[in-house]
Amino acid sequence: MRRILRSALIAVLLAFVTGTGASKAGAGKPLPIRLILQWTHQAQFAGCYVALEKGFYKARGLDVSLLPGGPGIAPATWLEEGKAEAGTIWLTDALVARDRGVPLVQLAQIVNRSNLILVGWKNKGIRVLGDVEGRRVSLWGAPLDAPFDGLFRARGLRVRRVPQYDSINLFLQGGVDACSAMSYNEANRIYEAGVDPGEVTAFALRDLGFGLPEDGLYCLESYFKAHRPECEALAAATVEGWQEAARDPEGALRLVMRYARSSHIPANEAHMRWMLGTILPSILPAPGDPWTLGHLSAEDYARAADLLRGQGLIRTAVPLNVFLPSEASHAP
Amino acid sequence: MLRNMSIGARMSVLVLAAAGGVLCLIAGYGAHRSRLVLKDELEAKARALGAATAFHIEVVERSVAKTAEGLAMAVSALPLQPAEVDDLLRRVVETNAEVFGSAAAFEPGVFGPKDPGTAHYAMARSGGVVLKNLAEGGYAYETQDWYVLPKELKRPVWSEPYFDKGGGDILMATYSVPVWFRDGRFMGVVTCDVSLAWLSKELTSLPLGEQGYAFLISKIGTLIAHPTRQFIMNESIFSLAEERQDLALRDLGRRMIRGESGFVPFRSFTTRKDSYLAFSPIPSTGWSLGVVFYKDIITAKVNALGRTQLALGLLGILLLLVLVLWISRSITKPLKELDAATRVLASGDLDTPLTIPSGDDEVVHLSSSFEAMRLDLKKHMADLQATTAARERVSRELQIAHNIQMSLVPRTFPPFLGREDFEIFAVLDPAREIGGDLYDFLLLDPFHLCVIIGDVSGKGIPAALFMAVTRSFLRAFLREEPDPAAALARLNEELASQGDTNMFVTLFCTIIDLRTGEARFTNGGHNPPYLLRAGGALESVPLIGGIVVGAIPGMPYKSGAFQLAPGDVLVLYTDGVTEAEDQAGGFFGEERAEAELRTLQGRSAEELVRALRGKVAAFAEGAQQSDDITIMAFKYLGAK
Repeated sequence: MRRILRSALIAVLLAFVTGTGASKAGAGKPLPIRLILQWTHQAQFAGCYVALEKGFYKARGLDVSLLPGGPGIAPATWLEEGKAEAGTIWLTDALVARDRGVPLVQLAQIVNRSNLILVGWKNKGIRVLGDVEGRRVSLWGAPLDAPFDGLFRARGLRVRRVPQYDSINLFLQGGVDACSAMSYNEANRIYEAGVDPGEVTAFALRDLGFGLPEDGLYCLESYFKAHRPECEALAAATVEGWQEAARDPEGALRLVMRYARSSHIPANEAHMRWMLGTILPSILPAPGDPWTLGHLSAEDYARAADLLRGQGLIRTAVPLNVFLPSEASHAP
Repeated sequence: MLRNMSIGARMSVLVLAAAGGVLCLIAGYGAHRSRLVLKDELEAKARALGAATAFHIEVVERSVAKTAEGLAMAVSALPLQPAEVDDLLRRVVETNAEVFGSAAAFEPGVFGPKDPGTAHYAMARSGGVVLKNLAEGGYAYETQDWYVLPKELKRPVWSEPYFDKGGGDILMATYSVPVWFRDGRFMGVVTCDVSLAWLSKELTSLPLGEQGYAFLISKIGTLIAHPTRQFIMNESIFSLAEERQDLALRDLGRRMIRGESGFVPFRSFTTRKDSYLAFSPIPSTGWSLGVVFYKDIITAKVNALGRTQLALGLLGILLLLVLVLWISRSITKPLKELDAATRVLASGDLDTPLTIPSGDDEVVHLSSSFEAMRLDLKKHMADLQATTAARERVSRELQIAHNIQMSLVPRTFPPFLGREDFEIFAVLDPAREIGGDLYDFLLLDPFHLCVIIGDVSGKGIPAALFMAVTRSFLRAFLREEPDPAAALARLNEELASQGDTNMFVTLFCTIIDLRTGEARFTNGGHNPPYLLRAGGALESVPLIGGIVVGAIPGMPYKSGAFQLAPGDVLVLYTDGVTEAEDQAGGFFGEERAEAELRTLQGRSAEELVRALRGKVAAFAEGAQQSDDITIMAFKYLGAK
């Protein structure tokens, strides 16, 4: 009798620790979740592919399908319109959407360290940040440009803004003197266009005090309330997927290439390897890094909200415990 | 090993090795040269092919560009109604086969504040030209490269190639021309799309066969056409370089997108084969065409050439082998014959003449020399035989003479048994060749002893016979003449009368009265004997003069006398004693003889003779004895 009790206790504890107990305890049929990615298939989402292909989602009673994003696809809108149950969204995008009335809640903060950089042509005189004064600089639209704007404003720099969309060809053709870029993506695309590192100058926004967390896992508040255990399981499985991707990057890379090829997106292994290698350290903290895997800190949340509010991109931000309902409930 | 081979074999091996080496050098150089020539040919071919293909592509791109530019002029010059724009675009697509689609996209807001922007688009489909407004359906045309780049760069732009989603995954490139109002405001962009599907066909139809392939990269290095379909649009020359960590490939890519042309060694992306790459730019689009030729086609050609050369070379060497064998045989045949002949010669057969081949080469000279040597040897052998015979004859004669000489002198000591009034002892050691010493003694009556010593000139049998004659005559005359001088004079007459012999003899002859010790003597040119007195004094027999016997007839000989006391010793000798030579060529000499004799006082005749002979022998110490050595001692003991 006693032994049975103890076994049950251990089972419950284990279920709790792995975060699967709730759904396991429920019906045997897995819950279908459509997860919309914020861009086309690439190594930026390696953790999701690994979690799906290695069965981390399934193990937690989730039947996840990954929907590729791309130009013109805003995951927040898809969630709002019910075309997906969960999505990966930038923190700033999520804050803006929330402010506009889309009731997003965050399940996990995947990318905790900023990967935004500004790249300038050396032959056009961009060697230090001050050199962008008065120059043509292409920047992504709001709110991706918020950290750049914040930086320029803080440094008193005025640039001639040119809208930047989904390619860097304008920069490559010399149409602008500098452009916004992700260290894990465009930086290497520039290299893969035959531009040598010595020909450009790169400024990392996180080194200049304007680094913000980026990709996070979100769903609508209502969905979270209805499927809280599944939402938490989704976050845990995705994080586990990233841990596994870090443990076996080449295995993850093979999955990335498979997804990219299946959706007929131009992709090559060299670039995806670079992307995975660059994004992993912004997700999994190294000793000394100030963040916890998968968690958004209150300070970063406040900084992001302040920056957006300062630029008039949002009026207000919801309290952290509203934005992060699962964290709030676990807090004592 | 070579040393153990015959000359012919060695010559063949060396000539073949040398010829083979030269052949190899020639073949190697030939292969190298032909490789260079083939490489040059290949370079010319690759460059020409690349340039021609690039030009062909260029022509197509230019015509598309011209169409787009014409369209831009029409749109900017004429105020057009939307239907007119559609009609224009339709006509462009219909009339230009290479134009896959054409757009006129206007900047939102240019036709009024509420204008959301329109993008007229006409595209070729199997059923004909289809018209649509790209702005419908959420397609943000104003964010596309084909729109943004000409707008921002303010010049016509070839887009990077892309897959056209709407048109069924066809690889396209778009030429976009910005259009401006007369007042300088930006109106929009007109474009012509060109399908790049024909490019791959174009490149695969190049006459490269199995020898290589062609590929095309865009302005930023993206592979637009390549035999490996997987590469197209996925990889760029730089991503491949990154993947393979091949910095040289990256450098090559940079040269290509800079619009350079060239011909460089290259390693194929796909086959990893060593190749050459000729690349030429397509100036209008900024693309670059690469034509790859595998190096192994050169290698194959060179190898084929090499095989032919090798076969020819082997054939040549075979011919050479036959030739060398024939030549070496013709050269070594007389040598072999000579070898056989000299073996016969060496075995001692000097009678077989050598056959001397005709001609005037070294072998003929050698054969002639051998023949001359054979003849010389033969003559020499004959001479040697004659000489040896002569020498043997002489030797025999000498032996005979020696025998005669030794038979003439008394050799039994003591000669007269029972005589106690004197002792007499003599030794005669003949020299090998010269010689002619003699001694003799005889009792004329019981009281008179005649003692003779002499030395005949000449040698051999004549000398021996002369000696015999001398002795016989002298013995006869001494029995008839009481005076030795008279006997000597008669002897001289006899010997001199046979004067054609030119021989003579030195003689000392004394007759001793054994009762009184009184001695009468005569001397014919002989060394005067010594008198070793019993008291120790050493005297010479008185000098009386007298020349050698038998040389000149009618010569007088004097008589002399001396008195012997009991114990006195008369010592006679020939010049073989005083002229005995030591190793250094010094003579024994009379002084040494006298000194030695003084020490021998009181000895018996035999002891004295043997002692003196011993001294002479010790002096000569093994030196060649050049003359007979004769010592004789007469010791008078007194009448009993």
